[in-house]
Amino acid sequence: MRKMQKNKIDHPNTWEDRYETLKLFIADHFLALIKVVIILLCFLMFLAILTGNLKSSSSQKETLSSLLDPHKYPPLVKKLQEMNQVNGLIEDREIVVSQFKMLNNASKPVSIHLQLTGTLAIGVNLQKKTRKWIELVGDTLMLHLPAIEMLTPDTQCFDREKEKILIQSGSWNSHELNALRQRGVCVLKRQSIAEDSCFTVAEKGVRKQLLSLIRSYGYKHGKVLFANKSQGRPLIARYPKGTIPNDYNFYENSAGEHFIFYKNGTILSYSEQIPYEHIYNLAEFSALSFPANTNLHFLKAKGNGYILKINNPNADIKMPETQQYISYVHSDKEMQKQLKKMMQSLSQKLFHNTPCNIIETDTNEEVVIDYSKL
Amino acid sequence: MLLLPLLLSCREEPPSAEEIARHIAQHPITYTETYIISRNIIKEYKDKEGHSSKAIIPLKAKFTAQLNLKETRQIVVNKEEKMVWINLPKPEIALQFSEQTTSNSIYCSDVSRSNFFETELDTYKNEGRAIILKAILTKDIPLKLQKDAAMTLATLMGEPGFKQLNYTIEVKKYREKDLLKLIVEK
Repeated sequence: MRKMQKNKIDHPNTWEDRYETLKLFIADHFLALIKVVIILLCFLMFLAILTGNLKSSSSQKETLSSLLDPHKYPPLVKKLQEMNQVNGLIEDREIVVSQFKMLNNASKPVSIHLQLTGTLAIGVNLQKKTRKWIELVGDTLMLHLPAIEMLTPDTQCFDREKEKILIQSGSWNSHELNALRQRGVCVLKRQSIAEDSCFTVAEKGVRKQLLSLIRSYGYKHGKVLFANKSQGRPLIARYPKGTIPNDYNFYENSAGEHFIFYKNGTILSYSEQIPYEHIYNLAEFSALSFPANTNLHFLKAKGNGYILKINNPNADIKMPETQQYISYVHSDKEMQKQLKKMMQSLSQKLFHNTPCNIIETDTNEEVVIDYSKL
Repeated sequence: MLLLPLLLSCREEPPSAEEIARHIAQHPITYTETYIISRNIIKEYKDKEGHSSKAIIPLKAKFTAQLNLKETRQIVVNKEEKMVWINLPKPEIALQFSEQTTSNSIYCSDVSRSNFFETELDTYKNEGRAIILKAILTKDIPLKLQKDAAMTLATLMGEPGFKQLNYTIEVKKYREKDLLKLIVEK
């Protein structure tokens, strides 16, 4: 019987015979078959892992668009979405803004020195972030943020309760005081611009805070990039009309030259490559009150400086970068005396960081001085 | 390494203080706040003609307060009550005074007075230091840093293997005297 079966298996003719052959084959090679199946499964798993890895590495640089779906926010993205701004540096400053004016028949100018206490935050405004502000490159989470800027609005720079008049001579009305306060905002911002490191310190501060945040949410590596610095730098021309003293209009033309106009239309300052610090100095200077009907006109001097022409009374003031000189001319002796005192006060105000010499002449002829030879 | 949190979550034994400290130390997170403070000192004196004059002396300082979470060492675990108390590390405050206070930076209502003696300037600087230190003390920076750090710790302790315990993170309000000890002048 068995021989017959064996014969049938060796030479299967019908479907039944073939089935029997398979059954016998399985019975004989069961263990071997199990091994083959396991090996095959392992191979398939290996293949699946490999293809999965290949797929993920090919899409290593991908935006977190799916993660930005409001319903699937990961905790870090949610946290960043909730943050409006990140402060990198806080400036708590007390500044003094001064105003001088010559009263009629007075022998010397009167002045007021107002101390303002202000807080200015420098950092990044996260509401200005672009659409592709976050991406995952490998295991590094990258944040593309807007440029560092001043975050405190002009209207909130100063605490009115802490305002203090330090020195006052003469009487000053509320309009004059308000103009002084507005100029204080300008001075506060100028100090931050003049100290370029403020922006660098703020950038470092924001970067450090955000990297800490990224790590605290379990991301191994993080990178924080900022938009071009110049975009956020508060250029003087960016001040909207009327934010610095009411009498000024700041204007920037397409060539990037900066102009400051006085209310009567006289150009106070023009810039080819004037440092911002100087423009502010000029702006501050021009905010000082001069006798009525005085026209101020800044011209670029020969050499490295500027001349201020005052038509009535005639005077020239020069402001070179390295050493400061003031010169003035006037025919009237009494007026000259007054002007000298006034200039001495102004020189302290204008050039407080560098020595100042006052050059005196007694002619009312227009004098052209080559300051580069002084 | 990957299985460690899983194993920790499966076991019944709560983590020890050392394990918690090690877990925190794996996250080298530093909280920083940077400030620039400027203040004016007003001095009144008589000029040569006997008139009263005033001088405005500006002073400036930069300070950076820092809290490093990695430095968290004081951790007490009560395994029976499943309670953990964590004391945050002390913040460090680095203070740097600006050396810009010179005769030229002083505004004086008496225009004839333009130079100040070194001894006078030193006196002004010392007075200014006291004013600036006072301004720092009013800002409560350590408290802010600790609050930020506590938020992060809460996230870290919510991870597998650690969340079966009840945590109390102590945020310390420093008194003026203690705060002054944290300030390191550069």
